[in-house]
Amino acid sequence: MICLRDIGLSIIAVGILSGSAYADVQMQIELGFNRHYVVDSFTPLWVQLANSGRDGIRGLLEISQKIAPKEIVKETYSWPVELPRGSKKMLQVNIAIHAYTDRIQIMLRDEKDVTKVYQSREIQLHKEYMPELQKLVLGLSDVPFPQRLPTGESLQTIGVEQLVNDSTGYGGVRRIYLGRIFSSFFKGQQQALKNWLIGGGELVVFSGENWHRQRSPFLEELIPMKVSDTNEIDLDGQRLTIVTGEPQGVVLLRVRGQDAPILIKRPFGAGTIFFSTIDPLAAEIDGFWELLKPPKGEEQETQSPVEFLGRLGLPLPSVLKVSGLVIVFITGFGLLGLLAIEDKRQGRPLTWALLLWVLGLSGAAALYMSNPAFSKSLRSLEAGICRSLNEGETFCQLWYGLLSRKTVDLRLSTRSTAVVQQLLPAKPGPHLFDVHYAYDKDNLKILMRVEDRQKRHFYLESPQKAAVTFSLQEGEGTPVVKVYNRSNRTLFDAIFIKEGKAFCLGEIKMTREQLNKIICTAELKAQAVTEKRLDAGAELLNYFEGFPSESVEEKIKRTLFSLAKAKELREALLVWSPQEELVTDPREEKTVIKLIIIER
Amino acid sequence: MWERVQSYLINSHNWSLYVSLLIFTGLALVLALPPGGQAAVISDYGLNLKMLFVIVYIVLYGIVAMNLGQQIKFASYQVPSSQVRGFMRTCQLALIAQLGFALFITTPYWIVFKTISYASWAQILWGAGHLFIYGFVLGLFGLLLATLTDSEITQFNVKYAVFVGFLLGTLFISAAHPLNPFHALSFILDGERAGQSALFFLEGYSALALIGALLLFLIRRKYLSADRYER
Repeated sequence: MICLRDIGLSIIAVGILSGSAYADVQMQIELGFNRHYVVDSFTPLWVQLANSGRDGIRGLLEISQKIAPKEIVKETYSWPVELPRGSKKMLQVNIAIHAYTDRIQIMLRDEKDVTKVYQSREIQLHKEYMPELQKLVLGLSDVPFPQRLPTGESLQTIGVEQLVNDSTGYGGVRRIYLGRIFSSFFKGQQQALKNWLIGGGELVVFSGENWHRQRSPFLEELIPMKVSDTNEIDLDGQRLTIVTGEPQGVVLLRVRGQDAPILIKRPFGAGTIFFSTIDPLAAEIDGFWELLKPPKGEEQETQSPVEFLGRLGLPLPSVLKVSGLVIVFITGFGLLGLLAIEDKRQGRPLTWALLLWVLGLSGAAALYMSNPAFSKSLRSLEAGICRSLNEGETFCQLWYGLLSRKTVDLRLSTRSTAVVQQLLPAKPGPHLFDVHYAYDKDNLKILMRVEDRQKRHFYLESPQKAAVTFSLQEGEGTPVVKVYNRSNRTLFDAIFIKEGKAFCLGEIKMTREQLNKIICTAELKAQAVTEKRLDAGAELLNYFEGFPSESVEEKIKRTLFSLAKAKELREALLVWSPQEELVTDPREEKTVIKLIIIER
Repeated sequence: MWERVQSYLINSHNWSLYVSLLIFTGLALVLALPPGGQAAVISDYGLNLKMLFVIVYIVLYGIVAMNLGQQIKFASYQVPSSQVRGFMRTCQLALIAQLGFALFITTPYWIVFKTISYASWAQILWGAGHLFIYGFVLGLFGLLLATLTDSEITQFNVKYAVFVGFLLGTLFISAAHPLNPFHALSFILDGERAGQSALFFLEGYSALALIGALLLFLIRRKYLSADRYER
């Protein structure tokens, strides 16, 4: 993902360029949050470019991950950059830095003449920055935040200007504490925060005496409370300001002996929002921080889909069938040959029969072998979850696994809003896999050479416009769900969940986009045809686990369902889509399993 | 004409050669089939047996080609010197028809091999064409051998000694690699390397053409001298 905005914003740009081919071009860079980045997670890299020369520049910004001391370049990224005369631009790009990488080279070169380098800078990662293995916890505040919270979490305090403009930049962030913040968020920052929450982020909002300065329509939409007023209370001998109102989520902590909530929680997509009605940093509240402690072992959960990529079945020609074909062919050939020799003596050539036999068996072999599952040299799986809140953007997380049956040069393509990272195997061996990510205006192209029998795994995040929405008409009896499918594929096995009940909607055909208005055909009306009363939680999960087949595909579906925490959904539409995110190569036999969740 | 061609294609002498070719290459093809299963298992399956079929095919086709060449001599009578030219053309046509037929009858195998090797039709056709040229040269060698001596045991010993020497010598002596069918077929089936090896194939085909021309010259000379001797 690349975002361009004018340099009117002040950011902590500290990297001063060293050495320059063209003194008219200046480059400053900053990586991560407070010089911390998380290994193998998407990390924002800000590149500030200024052109004080006479001519405009049409260039290519190239970023390379390198390994010292051999200067081996493993993964490279490139973005087109236009820098008119006298202009300044800030680019935010998100890249996943691998554990083996110790240098990053950032280079601005000419679009056509690649030997013409306008500016170049190399980051010594391990000297200049702090790699982290655990996801970061950020503190967003205009006043100093403690470096360590009573939850045991280490905090990186940042300002609003350091918030990223697209959610993928938060790939390495687990939780954000929002303290006394008086600056407003930009629209892009707001959407990025929402997408990050939908994807599984955690936001903790502290309020208290400054709430009247902090409040904004954006925050009021997010927090799980309809705020009405602020009051003064006595809490364990401390005089505190408390925000009052109607809780919109689960109240985790209340003022002792009173009804007033202190900590409220609500899910937001796969993520969570906590709202503290007081400022916990201004007072000591029994049990408050205990409730915010992260559960142990949570970090590994998102990596589990990688396991099923390796379990993907690989269809191959049946040895038994081919052996049968060979035996039948040889037997037939032998007999016909003998007859042909015999008949030739009697003047009746049977050679034609022999030729026809060869052609017939060739046809049979060609018919069997033309199955794409056998004949295509690449076998792949694209599995993922796309989640939205019934409006605006969908946040998609996808895992892509590829197995090549021969050495091929591959060029995969996806939308330019996506970010992709390569997931390296636990034991990569001497060969760390090369890949080049080339962005242009519309697409991201992933270029690589896949060796014979090599497995490649990728993780992809892609915020995009929601293509599936629904509306619910409730009355007496069964509710009617209208589903609007503006994707270009038919969706399967749709299920509507409401308060523990699951309604099977079946197949959802696509809506004709050119009508440019919500249409509701008989097929799309999708009235619940089967009603099954289920308790939210285990029973609902069991329902999904009851897929009739034990195939790898069904196991993948269950893994996705579990990852999406679908059993915790209160009102949502779940549907399976065969629509791919990465354009399928003609040599590729791909299985697409995508779970779309639309919540309300 | 058709009857003559038919008699070249299949007769009591070469029928067993064709069936042997089908049996052994068919067995190699079945062994070369990769086992099915999950991606993780397949990718850890280190031994690549895909080329087993090609290796067996190269050896068997070479043997069949030499034997077919020998049988052409056995089928022929003494040729007067005035008819040697026409006879030589007939021999070449017979050899071409039989070698082509041997390739044709293995078409179902090549279709299966194309799928398991993920090669293109162009690569398969080029590979078959290369095998045909290699077989034609070996067939001429078989014919020459048959004209040199009537002793079957001598022919057998010399034929296999030269054949094994040719395959191993060209396999290990780097200057002779362009002549080696294993090297050539592995280049052809690896599409990318084939494109980068124009010189390799130019050397290989030039050398095969020279050897073929030399063999034809020697065969012709042998027939002419035999006719003079008879007189």
